[in-house]
Amino acid sequence: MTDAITRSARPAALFRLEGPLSPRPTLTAAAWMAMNARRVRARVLGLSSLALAGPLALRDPGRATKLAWSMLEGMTEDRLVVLGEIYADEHLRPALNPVGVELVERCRDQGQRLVLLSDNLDVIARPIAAHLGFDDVIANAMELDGHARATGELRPPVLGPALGGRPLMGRLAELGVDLRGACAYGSGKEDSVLLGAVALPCAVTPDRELRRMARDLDWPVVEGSH
Amino acid sequence: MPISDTLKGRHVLVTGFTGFLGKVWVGFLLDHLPEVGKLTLLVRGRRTESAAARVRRIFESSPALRPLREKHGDELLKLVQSKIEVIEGDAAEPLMGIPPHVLAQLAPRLDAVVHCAGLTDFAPDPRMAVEVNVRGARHAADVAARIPSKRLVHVSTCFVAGEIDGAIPERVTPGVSPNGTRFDVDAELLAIDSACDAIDEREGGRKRPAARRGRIEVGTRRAKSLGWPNLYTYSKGLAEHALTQRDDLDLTLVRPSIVECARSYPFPGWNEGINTSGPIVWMCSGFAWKVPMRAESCFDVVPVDTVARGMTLALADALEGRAPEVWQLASGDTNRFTFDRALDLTALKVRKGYVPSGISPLERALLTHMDSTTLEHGADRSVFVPAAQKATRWLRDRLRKVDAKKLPAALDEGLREQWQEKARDASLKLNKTSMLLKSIEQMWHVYQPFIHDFDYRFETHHVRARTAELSEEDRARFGWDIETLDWRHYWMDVEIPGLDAWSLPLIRGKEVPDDVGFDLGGDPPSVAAALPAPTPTTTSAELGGAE
Repeated sequence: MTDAITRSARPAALFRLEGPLSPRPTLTAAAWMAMNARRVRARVLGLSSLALAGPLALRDPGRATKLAWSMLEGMTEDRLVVLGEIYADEHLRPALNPVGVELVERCRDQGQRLVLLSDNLDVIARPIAAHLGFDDVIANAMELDGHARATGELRPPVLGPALGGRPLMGRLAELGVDLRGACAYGSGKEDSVLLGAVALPCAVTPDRELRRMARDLDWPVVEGSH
Repeated sequence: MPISDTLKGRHVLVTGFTGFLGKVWVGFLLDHLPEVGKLTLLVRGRRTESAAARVRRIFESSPALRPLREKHGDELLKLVQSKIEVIEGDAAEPLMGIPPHVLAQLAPRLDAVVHCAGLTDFAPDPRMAVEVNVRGARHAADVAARIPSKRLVHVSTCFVAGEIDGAIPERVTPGVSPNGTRFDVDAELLAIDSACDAIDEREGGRKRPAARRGRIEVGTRRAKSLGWPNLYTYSKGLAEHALTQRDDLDLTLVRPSIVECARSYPFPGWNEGINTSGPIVWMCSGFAWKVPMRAESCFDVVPVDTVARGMTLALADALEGRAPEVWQLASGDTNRFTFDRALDLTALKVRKGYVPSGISPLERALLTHMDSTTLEHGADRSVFVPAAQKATRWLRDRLRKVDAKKLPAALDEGLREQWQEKARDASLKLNKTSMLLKSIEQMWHVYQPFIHDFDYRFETHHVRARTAELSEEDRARFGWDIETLDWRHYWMDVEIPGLDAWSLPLIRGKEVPDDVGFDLGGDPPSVAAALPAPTPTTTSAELGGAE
């Protein structure tokens, strides 16, 4: 209890996993997990769905991500957790953005409460959060049926690729994060709503649109290479 | 009453100390209940090693007793001398081989006999199975009947339930086999003995391999006719029936299910010998990607230290004179683990980097992406293993016949000889693979009743009820804790690494190292040495009955 109060009293630093910390999009994680399904048939089905999800991502990233996660239907909780750990350890950790990691360390040194945000699955985000020493994680979770198998649906409230909507704000409020004293780090235009809502926004190696917005709104921009 | 109060100053005779469960339980008792009075360990001597020397070696080098060595260091001898005494004997002999004059001195001091000794091989020679598991249990009962309290705690197995599906209650119906047939234990023993004698005579001696095969075949047929799937469960079942029919005992039957790697005591992962899960994990972490298991059936595994807790509770209840007759120590009742989950977790462990030693990078790459799944229709209808065996043998024979002289003359002679050499090497490897496939096929058939044919749910009311009565402190040390077991963590981080370290090397024909560098400084006290020489007047009749 005391720990929770102390944490909520500290100003929060919100980091988006996809972009500021990792160059890999969520869709890649979904595809990798689907390709590692237990049965060959499920792997083939996963790859077929991926072929559809790829082009769809350009038009409607939200629906593409939903389609991508639906490929995991029937996967056991054990497999989700273990594959999530393997993906985080073998694919995300070695490719973490050094600039993003440095920013995390700087925020920790300043005594800020570190919150990792991701529209990826929590089983993938949590090992990264543990590795970087985050205090809290807000990510999506797969809905499980009575036999601890994935239904293929994400558990509501679902975080979409564009962070900053009601689901995210609700979960931040649950954690007691005060956005008026928080700073946030994003890399793409999907993060603009979140960045606009905090006291100290920061664009990390931003894409073209976020860079333009940062310039217009006088947000700091941190450059780095992935 | 606190467990430590119940066991304070009590003197228990323990058989089977040299086995996997026996060592862990004795170590657990000495570590957690130093109040116990004395443990007399009945151990068989060997030609080159006395019972006391064997016990000393175990205290010095067995990983099972590592916590005791670490805790007591040079003072361990003091603990051993005050709490342990060794008696040379053999469970398969009348009165367990204890000389009458020794038993006459020992029996009045004992509070209970805990009989852990037994043969755990699934397809043993029926003569041995009957000798050790049935007559051995009777001999233990004969000793227990001579102690003042008449208490016998007999370690059996949940699988005496036989070929039955569903909930298995904690009870025995004496003289009724699992399939409902009425039988008599003595008649069974007689029938097995005479059938074995007839086979031995027919085959020209009991040591001939054909005679052994014949005995196993006949014994297994008899076991199945009564509803037991193999000779192990048959002999353990007969022992239970033999004991429950006696009225001169205060009997407690402890039935563990599949005893596996320790959760925490003596340390996570400790295992000894080739147990049930070892071969299964060995095959599933190899190239057996279709396994004849019923996916949703219960894989009733229990960590050895959890069994040690249950045994301690059963003994405490027995000493208090209020123990129920049967205690099942199983997991499926409250924390079900399925074969499908075990296979999935084994495959995931392989993905996470666990690869059985001695395989090539190509095999590793294949294994990582080839997850085992269940073959629901069982080993009998498995086509893969027999087909793979046939193909391997065919290829092996072809490669064996490769002759450098018959290769195209256009090739350089050195090259032809090189090819012949390579073909021979490949045929040797294929021969090894063919033998491996054969052993996999045989193993599937031995395991089939337990992993495919029946879905057991062993009830565990007694151990849970006793745990509920314990104080918070006792519950933490001795309570039945299977409900808190996280199977994913246990299987991937405890069981598989444990098997890899302590069991799988044995399957691969390698040895498992003992701990080294500890000198106990002396042998544990021996019962016989402390007693006066036998007098001619001490007879078995004086001990309360003839054997």
